[in-house]
Amino acid sequence: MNQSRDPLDTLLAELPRQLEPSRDLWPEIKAQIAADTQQARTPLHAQRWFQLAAAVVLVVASSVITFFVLQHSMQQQVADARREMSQQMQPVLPTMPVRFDGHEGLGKSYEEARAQLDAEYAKRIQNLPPIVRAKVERDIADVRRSAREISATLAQYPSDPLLQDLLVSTYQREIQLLSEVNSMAASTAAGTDL
Amino acid sequence: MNARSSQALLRVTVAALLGLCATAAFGEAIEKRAPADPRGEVQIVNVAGSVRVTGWNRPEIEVRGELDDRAERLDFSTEGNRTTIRVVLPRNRGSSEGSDLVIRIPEMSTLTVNTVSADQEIDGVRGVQRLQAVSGLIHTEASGEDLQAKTISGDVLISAANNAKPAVYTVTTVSGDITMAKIGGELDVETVSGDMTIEANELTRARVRTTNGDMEILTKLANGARLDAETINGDVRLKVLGTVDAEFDVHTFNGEIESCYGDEAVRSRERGPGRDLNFTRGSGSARVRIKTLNGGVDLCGR
Amino acid sequence: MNLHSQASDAARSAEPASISDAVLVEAARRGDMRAFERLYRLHSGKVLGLCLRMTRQREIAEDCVQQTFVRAWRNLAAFEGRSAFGTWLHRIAVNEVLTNARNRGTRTEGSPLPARDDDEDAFDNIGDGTAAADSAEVMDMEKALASLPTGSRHVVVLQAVYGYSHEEVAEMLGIAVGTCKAQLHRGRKLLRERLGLPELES
Repeated sequence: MNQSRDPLDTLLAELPRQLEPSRDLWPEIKAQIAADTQQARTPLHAQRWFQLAAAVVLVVASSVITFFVLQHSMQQQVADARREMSQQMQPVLPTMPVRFDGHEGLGKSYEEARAQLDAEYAKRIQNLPPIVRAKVERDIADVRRSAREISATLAQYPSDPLLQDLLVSTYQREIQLLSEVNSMAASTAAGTDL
Repeated sequence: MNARSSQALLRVTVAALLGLCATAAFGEAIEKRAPADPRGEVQIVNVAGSVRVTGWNRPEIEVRGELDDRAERLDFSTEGNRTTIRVVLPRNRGSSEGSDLVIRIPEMSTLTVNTVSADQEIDGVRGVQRLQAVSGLIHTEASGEDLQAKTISGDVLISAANNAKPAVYTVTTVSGDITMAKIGGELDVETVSGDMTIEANELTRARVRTTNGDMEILTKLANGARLDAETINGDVRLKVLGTVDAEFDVHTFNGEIESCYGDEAVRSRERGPGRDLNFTRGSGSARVRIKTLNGGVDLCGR
Repeated sequence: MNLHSQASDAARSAEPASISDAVLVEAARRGDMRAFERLYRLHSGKVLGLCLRMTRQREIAEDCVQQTFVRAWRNLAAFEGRSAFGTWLHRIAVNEVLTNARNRGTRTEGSPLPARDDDEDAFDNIGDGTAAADSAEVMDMEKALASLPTGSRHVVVLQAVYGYSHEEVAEMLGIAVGTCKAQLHRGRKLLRERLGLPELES
């Protein structure tokens, strides 16, 4: 069946449907797909944002460790704890994330720093009255559990900024908790002085 | 010279210098006074029992109370402008009821109190306060100078005097609850499992964090104020008082967001959890940022 | 049969057999990258054709092609086979174009003739090697298309070049069917003017 063709349609029909790109785009597509998959599979501690947070935290944690190592008398400890508390309260950098899954980590000095705090904690917590000690252990366990929960969720939603922020905060909380408890428990140790 | 005898020597020297008698009998009632710098430092240490501190306008310190019968002595000494009041306990003190101290200090003093299970009650102190208890409760009145309070399981209650200027408040507990009323200024408040109830006149900066506790905040926001609230599992209730001139940025992962401002939360992603609510009222001068993993967020307040 | 549907048949018949697509899609869904590359080879030309004529800029269009395939890979699980794979790709591509335009704050209406410099560049060396593609007429048509205001251009490309129905086009662009028809009418009218074609008798 013939109809007078509208010349516009003829011209439109002659337009090529497929056009050639200036170069082969496939390698870049493939690379980006591979990168996506990699990110989803990269363990948390190896992901870039996490390492940056960890690096920042190292600085704060080292100063916390130094504080414990250097202190002498209990009184000095209390004074230091007060000063440290007011420093820690500055809303600045996140403190060091803590590793909960026990694998290779965020770096040797971070691992050592946290291990030191934790070892200190294990000793000092003995000094707290039993009821208080039980509350602290429960709360530290809660913080650690939260970190595990957030890490696991991050594995599903790797680039979620909310999850990233909350995880760093939680790790920070753990370090602060360990150091606070350590300093306060130390001051109840001997019983003669605070 | 061993520690004990050097301490004894020090005591005698100090006593000689200030005419104080620093001995004490066990279980004894205490009544001591000494002159003090009106803007000096006062440091109080008492493991168990109670500590009650009141500010007055005399340049002296008065200590009354009753020592635990297991306490060795009360140390009361001054060095320069710093006065230390300490209940000294023997090494193996076992459990004790503790010593109750009632202390009056120059109201402009900088006050430090350190207790374990002893509760702390403070009022009328107009200088900087640094208070620490392990399980004891801390109850203080703030009057415009910086205030730090820290406990493990003790609750912290802070109210500001009527004419208090804005100040910087730093409060940390592990499981203790935190209640603050009529305060103003800058806040840094953290707990792990404690609940927080904060009623402020006006805040310029606030950072409020908890892992499992709930938080309730009622406050006016100053121009350009920043309020950051974060919980993992706790709920957040925020009511901004007065004319609201702020930008709100709320993110939850599994929680609900209730807003009485008219805007609806949107899902963070097409499939999966997460809700975000971002809106502005007025010129958006202040900034409110709320993040929670599992908690609910209620911007309607009470 | 009117020429619009002839055009759309011509457009569609250039698609590879849908059976081979289905098999490739299945394999790609299971993670077979080579099957997905095959799909890319089969469909990228038409995706570029769409992107280039909608965006008018080669660099942006090629970016759009990449993003379309990356997104397609990510969302393979969501492709239900209810439409042709090529159509599905086109939907993703249109989405990419629109999002990209929003993000860049582009609200450029079409330029009046002559076409802008980058449009000329965009349409250099186009074509699939057929005689018609190399002709001066095609160049004029591409330029005329490129000169259309954005709204009409999008509709004309999707409907008149790629043969989608009013309903499909409206859905892809997120506009009402009525708007779509009006844009098409306007686009075709402008094309006629700019190509020096006589007006239709109404």
